[in-house]
Amino acid sequence: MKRPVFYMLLILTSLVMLLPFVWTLYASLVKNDMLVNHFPTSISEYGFENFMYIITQSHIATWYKNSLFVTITITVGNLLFNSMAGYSLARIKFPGSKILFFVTLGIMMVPIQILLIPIFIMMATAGWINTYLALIIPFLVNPFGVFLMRQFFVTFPKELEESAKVDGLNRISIFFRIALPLAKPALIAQAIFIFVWNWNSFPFPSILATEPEMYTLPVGIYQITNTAYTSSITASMAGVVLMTIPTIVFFMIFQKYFISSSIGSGIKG
Amino acid sequence: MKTVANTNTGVKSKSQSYYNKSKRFWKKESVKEIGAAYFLMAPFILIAGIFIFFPILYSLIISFQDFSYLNPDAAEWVGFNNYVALLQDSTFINAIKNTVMLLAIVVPIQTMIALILAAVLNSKIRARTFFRTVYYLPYITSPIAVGAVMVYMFNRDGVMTQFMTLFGMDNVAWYADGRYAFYLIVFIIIWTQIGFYTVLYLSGLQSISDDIYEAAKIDGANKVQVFFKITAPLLKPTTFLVLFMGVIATLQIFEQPYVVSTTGGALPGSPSESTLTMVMYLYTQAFTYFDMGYASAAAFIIFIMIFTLTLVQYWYFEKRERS
Repeated sequence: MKRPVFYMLLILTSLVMLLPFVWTLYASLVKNDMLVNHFPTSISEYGFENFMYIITQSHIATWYKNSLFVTITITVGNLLFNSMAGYSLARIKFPGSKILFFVTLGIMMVPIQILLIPIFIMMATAGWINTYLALIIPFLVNPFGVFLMRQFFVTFPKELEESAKVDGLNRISIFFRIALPLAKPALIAQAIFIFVWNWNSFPFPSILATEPEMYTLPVGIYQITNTAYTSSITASMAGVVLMTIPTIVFFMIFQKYFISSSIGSGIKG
Repeated sequence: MKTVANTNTGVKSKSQSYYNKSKRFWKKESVKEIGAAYFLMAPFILIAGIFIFFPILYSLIISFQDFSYLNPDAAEWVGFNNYVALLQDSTFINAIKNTVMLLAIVVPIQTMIALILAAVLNSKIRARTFFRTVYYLPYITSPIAVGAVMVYMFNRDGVMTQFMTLFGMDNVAWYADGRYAFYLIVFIIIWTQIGFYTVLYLSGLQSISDDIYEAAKIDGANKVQVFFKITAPLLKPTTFLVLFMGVIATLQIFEQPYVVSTTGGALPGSPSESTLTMVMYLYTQAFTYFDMGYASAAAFIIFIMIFTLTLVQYWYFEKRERS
């Protein structure tokens, strides 16, 4: 009795969730812009022309390269620096550790919009606007990532550290040789969060990169869809498809870690 | 500790010497330890200090100045003028109204839907992972891309616009129509966030032990009683989290209304400010008009609102928890 109602509900809501994805893919394959709302039945109306068009006629290849370089660098930086800080806060008793932990929690609560203006002024003063430095350096650490790693390392077995100490390893070697390699699940979870956030990030790149050669994908896609709006819907959708693929692939591969970590950190936070 | 030490000197000296010994042991060790701790903390302290901590203070300072980026040397201290002017600025008031409206509509709806979806997913359902993944996809997709896609789907003759005419809506571009634009934003936000909150609720539900349900069954409680007397109270921490994160995320909404309203080169917040949110207002003031003192004051007002709401919600749930 109840089962079919449940499945109906789930299937209906899934359709609502999936429709925009399916429609985007469909629109990106329609050759003629004017036919997009008419669902042409002839197979000859479909093709990859929009993808060829967007790749050759816009800077999308450059934006892709920028986004990949910026996002990967930021992700690697976060993995290293947040883990170092998280380990230090979790495992070492040192003067100032409590204050540092509370400051980390505090800045997690600050809305990023407060940072937009000062970071823009700082970057403009340093002459870093339209450079990779501006797009990367401020984002190399993340208080949320530090918190995530701290929560992981708090439950890290003490015995491993003690036996390493007996073997004559100092703290820093213990971190790099023992703690960090064993933190793989937390690192993967963090990597995906940081990757997705920064891949999709719009407000900061939109003010820090003003030349088309320095745009990241969200900024570039925004320019295509909003300024060239009347020119081609289908080409814009091809751009959206290209932009969305990496996050979805990332998510599909690691979704086990992604969802379980959002649960763990969410509840504890 | 002190009274023990006073009444029994023997114990005191014994424990004291032990304490000193361990302290000396730690001293040798601890210099190294403290050095290592700060070495490991250094990159975070440095970067977060320069690019998070300092900017907050800097932002606070310029919110009390007449600071234009075009002419930074002419910055002047103006006291609370920016704040006073903002609260008299009808456009900002309108942005606050819109944001509060969003909050009042989006948060209850998404919380309810998320709870229902999670409850259904938590019953013995096939392909649970599939549904969970599908619900989560919009959350990881770029808001800029989502905004662009929705604009086309809700365009004149667009697939969704045509569908909605079945319910008596007009065949118009939703993003450019004063009656519909706001609800397009509502739909996009709920569509984007629902999966995240569903997953939060699902984890909350899964942490409730089956034994409790078994016991309720034996006591003869029906499904409705079980939900309201057992599930809902036990889910309170999750509900707090869902509301808390929902409110904060909605107060900070920027990308989706920005993309939708600026379609075709229109002003942010168009048509006629019906989709203008607080963060869009601050972004436009700062980076279109370069009035950064004014925009910083807006940023702090948003911050104060978020902070206050967080405290109120926390206090409310704490109180109910105790009673």
